[in-house]
Amino acid sequence: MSTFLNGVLIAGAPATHEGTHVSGGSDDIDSALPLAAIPDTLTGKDADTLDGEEASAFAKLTVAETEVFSDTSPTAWTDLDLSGVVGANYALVKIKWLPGSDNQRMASFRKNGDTDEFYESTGQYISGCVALYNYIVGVHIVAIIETDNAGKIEWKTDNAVANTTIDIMSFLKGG
Amino acid sequence: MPTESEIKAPYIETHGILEHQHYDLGLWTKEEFDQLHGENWDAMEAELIAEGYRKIPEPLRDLDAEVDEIKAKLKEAGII
Repeated sequence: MSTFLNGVLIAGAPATHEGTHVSGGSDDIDSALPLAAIPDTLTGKDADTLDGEEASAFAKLTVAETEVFSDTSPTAWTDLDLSGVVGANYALVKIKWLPGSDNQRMASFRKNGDTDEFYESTGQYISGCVALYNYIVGVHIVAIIETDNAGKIEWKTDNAVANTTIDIMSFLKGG
Repeated sequence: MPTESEIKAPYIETHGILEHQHYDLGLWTKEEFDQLHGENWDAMEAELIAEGYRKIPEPLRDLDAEVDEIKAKLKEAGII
């Protein structure tokens, strides 16, 4: 008898199970399902192909302390190209922002081309947005932001302030 | 009344064109591109505000000043 699981032929499995079955109780199933066939039941792809996809699905963390901005901060949404560090691809990036002075209390970051608003004056909603109320010399503010498929984000601040810096601390590279 | 998506659509298209012209074709200097890029999103946000989809951004709160003000009121009331 031939038995199929999700379209995959499981040869011999019923006979193996029947041979050890305990009526009315639990028993071990010595499945004859070949290991290589398991991915097929889930995706329809062979094991080698799935292995490759699994490998690319898990991004590798890169810790790279790299300055990507040191200048006067923008007050309108402005591109910040991180591709020189993270590559021209999607990435999840942890950055640290150092305000140039106490005249800068807000910076907002978002994926390049995102049309949702992340700038909020009271800083109560901090998704994709960071706020600084009490400037302390040398204190960095950390944000986690995703890039577009070219490794770019957008950002803006409440005031144009010289000597503002942004460093990448680490990133996960996407596909 | 246009939907939020209808308002955003032409600005998203303009953003894509600007990015292509700058990064792929090199038609703009960085300063020109930054200005046009910012103006595009500013214009979209102004339209979203005008149609009631966004609030006008309020100025940043000065929390230190607010604390001082509360302290002054409490002092005046003899609480502290």
